[in-house]
Amino acid sequence: MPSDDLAQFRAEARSWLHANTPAHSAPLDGPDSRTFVLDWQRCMYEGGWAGLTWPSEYGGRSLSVAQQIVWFEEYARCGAPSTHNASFVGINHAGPTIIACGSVEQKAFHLPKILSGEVIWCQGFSEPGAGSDLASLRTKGRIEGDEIVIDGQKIWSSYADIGDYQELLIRTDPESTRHKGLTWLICPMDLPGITVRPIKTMAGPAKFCEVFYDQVRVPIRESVVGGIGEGWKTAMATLSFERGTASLALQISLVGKVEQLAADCIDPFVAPRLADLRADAAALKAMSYSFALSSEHGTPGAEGSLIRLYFAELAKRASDLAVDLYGIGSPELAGEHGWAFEFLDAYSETIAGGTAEIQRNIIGERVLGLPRGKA
Amino acid sequence: MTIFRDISETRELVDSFTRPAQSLFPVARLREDAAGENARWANMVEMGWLAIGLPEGSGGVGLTLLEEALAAQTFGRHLLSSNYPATVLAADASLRSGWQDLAASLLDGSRRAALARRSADEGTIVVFDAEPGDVLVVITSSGVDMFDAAAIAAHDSVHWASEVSLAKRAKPLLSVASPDLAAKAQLIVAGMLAGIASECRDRAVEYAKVREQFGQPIGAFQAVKHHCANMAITAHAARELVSFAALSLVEQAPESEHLAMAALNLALRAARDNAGLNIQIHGGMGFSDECDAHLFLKAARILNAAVGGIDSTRQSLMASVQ
Repeated sequence: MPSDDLAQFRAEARSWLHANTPAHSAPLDGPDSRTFVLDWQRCMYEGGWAGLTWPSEYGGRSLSVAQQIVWFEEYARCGAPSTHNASFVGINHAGPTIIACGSVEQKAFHLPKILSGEVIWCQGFSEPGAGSDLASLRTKGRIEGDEIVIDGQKIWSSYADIGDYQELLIRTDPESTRHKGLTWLICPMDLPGITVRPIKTMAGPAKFCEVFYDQVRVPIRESVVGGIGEGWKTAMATLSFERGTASLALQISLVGKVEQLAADCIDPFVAPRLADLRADAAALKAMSYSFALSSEHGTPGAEGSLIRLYFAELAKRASDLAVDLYGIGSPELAGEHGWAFEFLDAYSETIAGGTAEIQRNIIGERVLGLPRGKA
Repeated sequence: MTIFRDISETRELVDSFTRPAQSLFPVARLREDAAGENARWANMVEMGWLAIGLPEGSGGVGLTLLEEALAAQTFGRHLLSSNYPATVLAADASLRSGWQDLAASLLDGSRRAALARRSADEGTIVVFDAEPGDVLVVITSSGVDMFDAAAIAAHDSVHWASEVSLAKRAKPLLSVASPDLAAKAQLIVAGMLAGIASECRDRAVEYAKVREQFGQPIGAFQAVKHHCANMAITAHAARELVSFAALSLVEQAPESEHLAMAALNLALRAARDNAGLNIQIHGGMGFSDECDAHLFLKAARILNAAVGGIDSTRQSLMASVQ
């Protein structure tokens, strides 16, 4: 689109964000965070700023990736609430997966609720015995007539305690192993037989959870997305999205934080490290913009996995440097969204969604074509 | 236009424009026929590679710094000597100063330029890949200075530096202070370095697929695989930042000068790291002279020295926010 139109769009975004960004920062966990996140999502929806790149037939605005980038730049500049919150799974995982693989009824029922801030979604992928090795998951789904009966356990399910729906990956073929025989389900969190236990993270909040399933019954027609036994394929649609454009807002926000560090830096000992960090942040921006823009008219390229890992490690280095720069006891470190929290929370970046080690295997094998090791 | 655009098509165009480098400048030439490097210079002229970003009216191809920075990545992969960025910058600086004759002689191949770096006391100058008659090009933080090299003696290595005396307080032949010429210098060098990082990644990965130890290709071992993954990330970051910075300069985006310096800083580190890992993954073979791996390390060090080193980029990057 012409740059004049983009500048006009930027001005509109900036002015709306200036007028509407919440004055109070987001609570990090529990019912307060649910209320905050849903209120903010509803506010964006009513202002016409939700689902910018979602197709208009599903309530989005069908805008370009360039406009999406401009929106996130202004969003970060204005200090609007982090997108790494309870709305993340619905907006960035479940929604796009339902758009890609869901039935007409599923789309009509769920997508408007996600965009307009009526519901919170959580993810039920990892299990105590299936972390980076997701395909070894064992939570069972027994097919009984037009229902699936679920038994098992999930873990690291962020916001399951305040969630309305869960995207749930289970094994529906008891004879199957690994990637076969899995099914991707929409599971309402208020069903009988579901028990949720929040787990406190090392950074403080109790945002992720264990979820136990004891003969939980879900209807096949409404729940299964992408077909029984096709769960791996459906989940990959979600995960490849996670490794690509879903992280754009977080990437742009990190670049802004590094620039803030540079602006605050009066310490000559930290300056050389910060100079490299600024260049790395600029590279993150270059890579994520190029990736998002080139994915606009085709499937995302393999370099998404490179960018995801680059982001994770940069986030850790940036917060580590911030602690050195401002010093323990400084106001910049204090508070719910201070650098001390960011520093601790960043340790999840090289673990969640597949550890950095697994990501390097994936890059080595799927991007570079290196052979798999002998088991 | 905007900086928020997909440049895949530009990349394809430049790839086809620079593809002849594969046969004209195979890396093996540097081991087999180091003396022949001068003879190959005519190819640079013939292909139009010295004048990609200059206007057609001045004997250029009429493209932009974006195409130029992308082409530099291919040239870095083929280890074109530092005479390439030197000559491109010398021609541009000559035109900006109204020295049409000098520009014409650089563009038609009758003269060449070499990169150089002045010592802090300005008493000596280190020249890189220079031959008698070359114009010396010093990349400064604000642009380009050029010196006459009549006094420079021939030296014996294509890929090493020689230090020569220069009259105290010698005046440059010409001096161009221009932020966009400085950025062009940074991005062409950064482009070459990004190309070195990519080529080292490809060579390491290729070797890790075929070299077997303990009954399997070494690339199957996670320790080696993870080195390769790191090289891929490093090379991709350098490639994308160089391209984005060049696009930003072409579109006159507000932070383009910062991005050019960031690209140089990152590309210097990328070339250094990937050249080192490529040697490591090649093992004993990588330490031998007959393996090409060391050539990339040496080329990266030459370019590093010619732009004043990574630490100078760090200073500039921090100065730009003060």
